[in-house]
Amino acid sequence: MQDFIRYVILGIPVGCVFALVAVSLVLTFKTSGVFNLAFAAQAYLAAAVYYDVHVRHEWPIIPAFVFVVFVVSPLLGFILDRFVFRWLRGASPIGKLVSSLGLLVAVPQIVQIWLGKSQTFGVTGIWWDDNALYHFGDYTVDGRQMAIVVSVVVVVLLLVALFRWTAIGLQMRAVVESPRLTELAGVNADRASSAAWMLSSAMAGLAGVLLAPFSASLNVGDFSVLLVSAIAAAAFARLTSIPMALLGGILLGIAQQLLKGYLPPASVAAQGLKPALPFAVLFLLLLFWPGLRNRREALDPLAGADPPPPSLASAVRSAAFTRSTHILGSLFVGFVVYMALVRADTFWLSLLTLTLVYSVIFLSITVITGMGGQISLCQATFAGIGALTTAQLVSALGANVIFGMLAGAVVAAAVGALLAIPVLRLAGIYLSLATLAFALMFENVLVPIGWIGGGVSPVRVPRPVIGPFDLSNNKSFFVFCLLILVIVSILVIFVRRGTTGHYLDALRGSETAAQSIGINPAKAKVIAFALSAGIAGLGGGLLSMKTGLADPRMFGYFFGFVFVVVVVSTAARTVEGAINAGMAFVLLPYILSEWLGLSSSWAFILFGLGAIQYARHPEGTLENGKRQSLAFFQRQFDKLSGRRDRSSEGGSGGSTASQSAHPVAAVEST
Amino acid sequence: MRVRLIAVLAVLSLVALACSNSDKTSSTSTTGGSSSGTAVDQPGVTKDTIRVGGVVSKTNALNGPYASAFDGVKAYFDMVNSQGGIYNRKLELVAERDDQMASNQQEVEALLAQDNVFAVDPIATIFLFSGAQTLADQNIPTFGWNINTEYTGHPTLFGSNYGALCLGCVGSQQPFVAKLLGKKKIGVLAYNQASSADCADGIKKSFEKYPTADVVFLTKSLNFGDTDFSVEVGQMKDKGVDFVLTCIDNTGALNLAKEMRKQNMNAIQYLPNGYDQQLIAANKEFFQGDIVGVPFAPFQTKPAPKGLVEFNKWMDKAGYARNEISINGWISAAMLYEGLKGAGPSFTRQKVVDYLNSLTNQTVEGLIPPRNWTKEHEITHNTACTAYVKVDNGKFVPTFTQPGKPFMCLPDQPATLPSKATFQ
Repeated sequence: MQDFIRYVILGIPVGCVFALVAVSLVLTFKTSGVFNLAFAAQAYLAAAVYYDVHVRHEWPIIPAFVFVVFVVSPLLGFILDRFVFRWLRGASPIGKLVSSLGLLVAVPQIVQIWLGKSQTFGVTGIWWDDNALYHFGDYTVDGRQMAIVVSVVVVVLLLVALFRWTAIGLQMRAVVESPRLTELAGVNADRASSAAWMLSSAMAGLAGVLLAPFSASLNVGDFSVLLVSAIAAAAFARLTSIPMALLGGILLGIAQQLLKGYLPPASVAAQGLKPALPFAVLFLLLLFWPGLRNRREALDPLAGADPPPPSLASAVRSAAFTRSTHILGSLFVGFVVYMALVRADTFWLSLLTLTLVYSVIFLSITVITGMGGQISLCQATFAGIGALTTAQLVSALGANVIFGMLAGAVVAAAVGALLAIPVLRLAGIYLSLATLAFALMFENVLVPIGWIGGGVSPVRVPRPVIGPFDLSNNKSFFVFCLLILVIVSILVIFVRRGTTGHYLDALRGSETAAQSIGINPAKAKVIAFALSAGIAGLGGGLLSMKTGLADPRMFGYFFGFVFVVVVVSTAARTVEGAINAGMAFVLLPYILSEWLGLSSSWAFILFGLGAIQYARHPEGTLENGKRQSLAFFQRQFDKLSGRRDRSSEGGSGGSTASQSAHPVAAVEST
Repeated sequence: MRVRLIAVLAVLSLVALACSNSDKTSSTSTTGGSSSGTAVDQPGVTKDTIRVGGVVSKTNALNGPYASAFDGVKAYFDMVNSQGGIYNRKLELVAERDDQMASNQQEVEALLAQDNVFAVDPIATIFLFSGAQTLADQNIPTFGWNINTEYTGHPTLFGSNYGALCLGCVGSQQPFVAKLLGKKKIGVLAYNQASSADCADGIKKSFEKYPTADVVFLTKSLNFGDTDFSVEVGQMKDKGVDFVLTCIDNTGALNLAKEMRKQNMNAIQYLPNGYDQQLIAANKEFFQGDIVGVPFAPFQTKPAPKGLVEFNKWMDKAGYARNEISINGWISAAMLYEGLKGAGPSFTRQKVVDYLNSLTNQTVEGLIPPRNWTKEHEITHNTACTAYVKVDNGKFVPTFTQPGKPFMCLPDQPATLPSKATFQ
């Protein structure tokens, strides 16, 4: 019993660290409707500014703290509101989630460019002495922990008071629930929204400053790890209750200490259970915690039904123009293949091959996001499952590598289907969080197992020989990857045109209405998940062949974030979009660095900024640009061909009958 | 739809049946290169320059601030070029590539195809040296900071700090250090990640083979990013641990040190990544008395070996920071230079590699312990040498050393631990 009490008490300061992050997440969700994965980036930015002014420029603690928490962070919040989230007020929570993902990818890169190459050691906290020790009986806390415990308690009390007894607190919540109703009541929704973002950003800034002294050297990874661990506490609070977030964080801290205390430290159980705790808790909470299950995401009674997504770019052109673009497109593809096989050096051939491989992986996001309307944050994990299965079958069993790759796809599909079954009841951000929890559990529990993750040295994967074609020849392998991409693209198009695709379209519009006409949502979603996971697994196997090895570090959860950001910032709904995303992901960093002399970090900044636009342009920034440019060229084309200006007809009004009726078919035909 | 799907799968299955695996794991195509007007006809060599390029984690999203490795290389090249270069050619670092989001393999391919380099120098990648096989296949002389197991077994890859890295292997150094310090009870902490956990296993096996102390506490269940070690420290304290060996990063080591102080635990740490003056100075009261193993001559070595004197001079001259990463860049560059010198005026990549692999006592002017490259590429060496420093009031003080001989050497994996070490 004495040990139990000891571990419980030791868990409280740890829990307050989780609570600090969880309270921030809940605050942002409550006041802006955004599940803010960018919290880690905001906290990292605040910590970096605090380091700069306090350590580099030797400002005293209090001015540095005030500057960061009460000036820089609220200013960042104001900018985010003014230029990003204000425009997303009516967007779906998932659109807002993707925008925050974009910030998570972009902001740290900007900070790293600013900080430069030097390490950032020696950040001290805001307590007058970080290293002072405070004894409470047998227990001791230091200044850093005291600062967090005191801050969390004060912040929770203030926030509870703010939301319970002040008009601005009520207004901030009202704006989230229904900005239009709020404005009808005479409240300036913009001002309330700005206040909410400034407040939540100040909270992220406070967290950054309080947590910075826990890092030997500032590193966004530390903030990201803490963020994903603390999501469970936010889920415990149903993303709405600040006191519950505090309680959730403390309970999580206590549970962690109890596991550490009671499981033998060297045991397999400790190695598997303890690291997985926050993610397993999150997964279970999402599935079983009342209030999260079947939670309505749209609370705005004036929101009504979501408008249909804008038509695809290809739908705004005439049949003649479509034929022209097909010819041009074919010529372009032929040109690329010619360049790859005849003119490109080994480097560009390798890049083009990699583009094909990532295009296959990104097609999995086309299925789950473009067709299914869901954001999965574990597509990199599925690719990893495919790669590791391929590698282990080849190295351990001596299997044929093509067989290994196909088996990898099947295993990934099976895992996807199994994952889909419990998470079917979830939707929107809750489903996304469940996929994130799965990715983290896979990474922390299964990958460390040698026969799964491969141990210290990555498992080598050979290239196959197919009849007379030895794919260790890079040109042959390029053709092989092209073939796989074509097959998978055709498969995706078939599915999209087929029953499952139409079911998914219907489910996106209204699940209830779809059920009323006999569509089984469970079956359709499981198929979408399994197909998507299988494609990612196939791509993972292909990637392992390309690189010659399968290393789980290439498929970590952060890659899952980046994959989503890249695809949604280009175009998530089309095969062409996945290929564009593959090209952007692989080629853009080199184009920026080789041709423009910029750091390749800028590519990720651009992807992040592109993803921010997701809620405004769910079809993708490139797709949006393409629609506009196609419309422009269509007008020019019409002028040249002596037709009347089709732009006056709007939309796809000038398309052929079949294209108008089925715009999806038009793009698929590309 | 279903029929079409089955048809596609059937075709794929037939393709799978018709296949076998290639023995090779990547292409062996060669890169183009410019020939010179001299006797040397090698990629990346002109009549007045030898082109070199490197890949380093600079702005990796997962944090790998190793850019100063390039500074070390540039400073060394400055020194060589100030003396007229080598064979009337300047050494030129033409490419400083960033290992961004695990793009190591593509960057390596770019070095060879785009930058047309003669040698690759430096490599310093935070996670994965996935371009290792490409470089090995193409016989490219490659030099870098070896923190990745991919160097092992490749005769063209030369680590500035170690030849071959085996985290999980039995080693004699740590048990010997425990013996010298009079420590009897060992605590080992690692993350639940493959390399970290393997390192912990290696420590455990080492003390089992050379039982100078008992491993009484071992955990491999820490999460990367853990900042709380209260339970672990409490358990180690209960078990009387007096020497803590970790396989964790500096953030973990710092938080562990703070918790040890909080709980008044009477033990010191062996810091695997702690040779950084800024880190130690910023946290001096927590690392007081801790031991750091250093694979090169520490900056505090007295008298400083010639290599260290030159390093200090040329780094200061260029205004670069002197740290663990930049000195590894310097050593990498020095190894390339030594290989070129040994290969002779009509040098080739193969001759550089062959010469270096014939060296049995490479020291880079006293900067590294004597390295026998006839065996160094494999994980069992003749001797295991490490320099040690102790943290004292925020500074590093050489320990277990002799004047002018910073490295304490032991046979690698002897049957029993010798009673005395030798010094080099």
